[in-house]
Amino acid sequence: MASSLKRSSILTTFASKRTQLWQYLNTTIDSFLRDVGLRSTKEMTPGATVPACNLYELKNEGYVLGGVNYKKYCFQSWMVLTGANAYVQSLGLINVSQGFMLITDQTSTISADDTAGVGGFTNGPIANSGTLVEDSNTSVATTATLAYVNQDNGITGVDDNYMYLIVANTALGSIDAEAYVKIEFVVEQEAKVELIKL
Amino acid sequence: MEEKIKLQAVDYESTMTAPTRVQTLEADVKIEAKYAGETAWSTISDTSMARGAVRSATGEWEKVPAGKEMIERRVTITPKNIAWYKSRTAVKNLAVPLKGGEFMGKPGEKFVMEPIKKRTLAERKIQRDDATSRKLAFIQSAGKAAE
Repeated sequence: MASSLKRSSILTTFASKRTQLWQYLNTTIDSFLRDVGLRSTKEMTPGATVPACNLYELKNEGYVLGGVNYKKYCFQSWMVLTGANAYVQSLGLINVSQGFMLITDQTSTISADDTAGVGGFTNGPIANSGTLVEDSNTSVATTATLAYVNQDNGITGVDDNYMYLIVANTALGSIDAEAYVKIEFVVEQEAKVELIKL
Repeated sequence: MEEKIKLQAVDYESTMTAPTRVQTLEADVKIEAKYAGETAWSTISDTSMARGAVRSATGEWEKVPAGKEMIERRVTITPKNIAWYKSRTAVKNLAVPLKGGEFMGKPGEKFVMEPIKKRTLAERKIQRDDATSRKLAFIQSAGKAAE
């Protein structure tokens, strides 16, 4: 009887330890997969009037400058621009509760139909007159006159950063493009940061 | 004991569910006192204050000078960095005058700023759309001028 109780206790302990080990391994593997970019739950979803976008903190990428601790965030958005020769595309609003939102990196890209030109699609940075867009009348890639990410914190308060993508060539009838906006920015460590999808 | 003067703008900040303190507000704050037997206001301090909960220049309310009795206090707040908030003048008539050596205000006394319009989601959309139209009109007019 004593022996069977002891065995039962050992089995219970074993089962419990096995569960703990399993949970530990799962968490570790999950962290590893996220760290190397093989697993993500950073879903990009649209707002009522803004294209698909998301915002997340880049852990362990903060720094100290002039005695102030900064933390870093990534904002990204994806959209199709079509039917006009000038776009002021709203990307949503990033509210920063304290201090300023300082953009430190901008790696947005834009893709344009060039099937009647060189063939295929262009893929390049969003860089004002260096940006290729599609002349939608000809399906040939041409350059925009303006193309940049606009951050405006002068609309409803300095803590409200309205984000826009501006692309234009008003000399043409219509330009088309697909844009992927990706920016990184820093805020003071204590600031609350929220993406408001208007 | 800390005698912080708190200048607060309570409005819709990042959480859209309830008004919270807007921490980024900066304002010029002028504090004046009227003493018994005097008709003119005496300026106590006229300083710039930053970020929501702020201190006066000394971190405290000033004290009523010895030999004076303060019968009225006037605080004028002029927002500097957010045009979204109205200027405010808060006048306090003292039923019981403050004597020399007493603080001119209570610890943590708050001055809540009123926005021109509340920053609800709907209002932000309206403002955003107005700004979008202005930007588009500017780009189009600039583009036409360049053609």
